[in-house]
Amino acid sequence: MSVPVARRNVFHHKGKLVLSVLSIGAALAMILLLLGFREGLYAAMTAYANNLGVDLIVAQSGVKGIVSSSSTLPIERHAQIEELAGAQEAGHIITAGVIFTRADTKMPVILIGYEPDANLGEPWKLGEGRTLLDNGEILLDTWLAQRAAVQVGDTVDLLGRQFEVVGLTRETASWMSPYVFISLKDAQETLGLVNAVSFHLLRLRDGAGEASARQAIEAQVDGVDVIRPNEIADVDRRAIAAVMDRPISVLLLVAIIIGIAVMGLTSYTAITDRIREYSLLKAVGASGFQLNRLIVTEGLTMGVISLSVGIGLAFLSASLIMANWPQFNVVIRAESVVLASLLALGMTLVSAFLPMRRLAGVDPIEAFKA
Amino acid sequence: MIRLAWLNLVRERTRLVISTVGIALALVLIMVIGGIFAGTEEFAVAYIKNVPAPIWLMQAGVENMHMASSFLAPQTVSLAELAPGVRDATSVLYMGANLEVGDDSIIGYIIGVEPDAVIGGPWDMVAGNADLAPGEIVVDQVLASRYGLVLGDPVTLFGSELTIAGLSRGNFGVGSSFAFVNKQTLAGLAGAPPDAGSFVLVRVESDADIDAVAASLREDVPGVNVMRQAAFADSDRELIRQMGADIVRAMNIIAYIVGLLVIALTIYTATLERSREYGMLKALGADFSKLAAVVLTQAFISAALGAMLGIALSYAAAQLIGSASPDMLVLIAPADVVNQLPILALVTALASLLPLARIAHLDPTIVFKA
Repeated sequence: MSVPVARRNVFHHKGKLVLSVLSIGAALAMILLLLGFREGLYAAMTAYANNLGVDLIVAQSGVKGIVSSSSTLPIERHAQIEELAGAQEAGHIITAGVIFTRADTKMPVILIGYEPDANLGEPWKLGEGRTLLDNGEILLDTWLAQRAAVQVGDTVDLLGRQFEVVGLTRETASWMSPYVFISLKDAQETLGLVNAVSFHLLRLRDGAGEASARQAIEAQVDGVDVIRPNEIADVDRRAIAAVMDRPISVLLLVAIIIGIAVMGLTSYTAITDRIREYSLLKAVGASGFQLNRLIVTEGLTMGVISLSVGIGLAFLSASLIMANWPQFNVVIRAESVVLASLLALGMTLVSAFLPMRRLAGVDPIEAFKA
Repeated sequence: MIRLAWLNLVRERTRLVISTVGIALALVLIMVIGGIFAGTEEFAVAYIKNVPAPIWLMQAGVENMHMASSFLAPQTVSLAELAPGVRDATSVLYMGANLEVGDDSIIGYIIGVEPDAVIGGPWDMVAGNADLAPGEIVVDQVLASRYGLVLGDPVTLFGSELTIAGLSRGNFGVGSSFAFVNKQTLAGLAGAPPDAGSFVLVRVESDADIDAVAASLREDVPGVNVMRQAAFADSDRELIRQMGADIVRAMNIIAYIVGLLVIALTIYTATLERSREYGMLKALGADFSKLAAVVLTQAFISAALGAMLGIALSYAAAQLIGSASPDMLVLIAPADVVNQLPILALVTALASLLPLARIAHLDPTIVFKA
C-alpha cells in the first residue's frame, strides 16, 4: 500500500498551508494583474478606434494612429472622398490630446470633436444624460467627471472655453487619457483648426468593395492614406506598447523573482520542518531520486493549489480595482493565465533546487537523535 | 528578548535569507514603480527646463506641454517682441507624432524650430548640427543607437522621409521622446500654416523684472496664457503625478500584501518550529506579553533586514535599469524611502497577528508531549 507522503506533507499544517498558498497565490496574482493592467491600458487607448463602427478612415498621409499621432486634413475634400468611396455615410472627426483642468484635477484627455447630426464618431456607450445636440455642449467620461466632481448640467472649462456637461460616457476611462467629446465645430474653434479635420470617416454601402474604395481615394486624393479602424487600433497599440512595455517588463521581472523567492521560502521551510521524517525515509532506504521526486511533487501540489488561488485572487482583485478605480481597465486574457501557469511551473522547479540541496546533505542518523 | 528573537531567526539561515529577499523585492517593486513615474516627470519637463526662456506663451487655457496641444495666432511672436523688457521671442511648433524607422513606430513629440532660432532647439548635441535645414531632423542618440541609425540615415514622419542631421542627448525618455525638425517642414508635413506656432519662448532683458514682463505680456498679447518657466515645468510634473498616483497606489497595495504574507509566513513558520520552546517558557511562567514581544521582535528584525536589503537593491536596480535602458530614468528620492517605513512597520505588525494567535493558544503541556 503506497502512502501519499507528498499530499500529507502539504496538508499537515493547515495554518501554514493557508499562508503559503496565499503568499504564492498573491505573487502569481501580482503577475496576472500586471499583465492585465497592460492589456487593459491597450484596450482603453484603442477603444475609440475599435468602436467607431465605420468601414474606412481617411487620414493625412503617413498618419496611422488616432492616439499616437496628429492628423490634419482640409474639410473641403469631403465631397470628393465621399463620391470616390461610394459611401453610404461620411463624417469627420477631430482628435487631439488636451489637458482637462478643474480645481485641483489635472488630467490629459483625448478630445474628440464629432458632428452631432452625422451619427458617426460619437461615443458608443452613454451612462447618464444625453448625447450632443448642439455646440457648447460636452460629454465627459464618467470616471473623469467623478474625479473632477462634475455632474450633468455643470459648466466646465476646456482650453479657455465654457461647455455645458450634457452626458457622461462609459467604457471611455483610462488612467492615461480618458475621452471627452465636443462638437466638431467647437473642436475646430477651440483648437484653431479652420476648415480642417483630423479624419474623414466612411461607412460604405452594403456590398461595396472596401479595397476598391481605398484604392480609388488613395489614387485620386493627394496627401491621404485610407486605413481600416482595426489597423489604426493595431498601430496605436504597438505605439503605446513601445513606450509601456519596457517599464512593465521590469516590474514583471521583479514580480517573477518575488514569486520564486516566496515559493522557495515555502518549499524550503516545508523541508526543514520535516527534516527528521526525511532522514527517516533515507534511513529506511529511500534514494535521492525518490526524495527529490517527493520535493517536486510537494512543490507541484502547492503550485497547482496556489495557481488556482492566484487566478481567483487576480480576477477578484481586478473586479475590486475596476469597481474602486474605474480608470483602470484590467483585462486578464487566457494567454496571460497560460503564461502565469507556465511561470508557476518554472518557479516551482527553480524553487525546489535549494530544498534538494539541503536534503542531499541530510544524515540519516538525524532520524534517531533525541 | 532581542537575542532570543535573533537566535530564532538565524537558526535557519537559508530561510532567513529567502524571506529577507522576498520582503526586499516587494519593497523594490514599490520603489521602482514610484521611481519610474518620478523619472518620467523629469523626462517630461526636460525640454521646458533646458530651454533658456524664463517666460512661455501658449494658447489660452493651456497650462501643459506633456500630452497637450497648443495653437497660437501667427502675430503672437511680433506682439510679444513689442512688450517692454522682452529681449527676444521665438516661436516653436509642437505636436505628437510617430517617427517611423523601418517597421518600428516610435511615439513622441516633434518640435519644429526655425533654422536661425537662438533657443528652442536641442540643448545638448553630440554629433552633427542643430541648424535644421528643410527635410532634416535631430534625434536623440539613444533612439539612434537603439534603432541602428547614424547621421545621414532616413526616418519617416507623416509619410515623408527626413534625413538625420544631428544627434542630441537627454531627450529620449519613456513617454516623452523629443525630436527636432525644421519648423516650416513640420508645418508642411502636418498640414498646418507655414507660420503656425504652439509656444512662444520669451527671453527678457538682463535688467528686466521677469514678473513685470510676464504681466505686460498678459496685457499686450491676446489669446495667450503666459507662464513662468518653473511654473510651467511644475504644471507638467503635477500632471504626471496625478496620472500615476492611483496606479502607484494600486501596485503598492498589491506589493505590500505580498510583503505582508512573506513576513507572516516567515514568522509563523519560525513560531511553529519553536512551539515546544515557547510552551516551555509558558510552563516556566512567562506571560503572553513576553512571548509576544519575542514574536514581534522577530517580525521587526525580518522586516528591517528586508527593508535594508530592499533599499539597497532599489538603488542598484535604478542604476542597472538606467544603464541598460537609458530612456528609463528611475528616480528614488530619500524621502520616498522614508515614506515607506511607517507602512512597512504597520504591515509587519499585521503579519505578526497569526503567529501571535498561535502563541496565545499554545498549551504549556506541549513540552511534556513525546
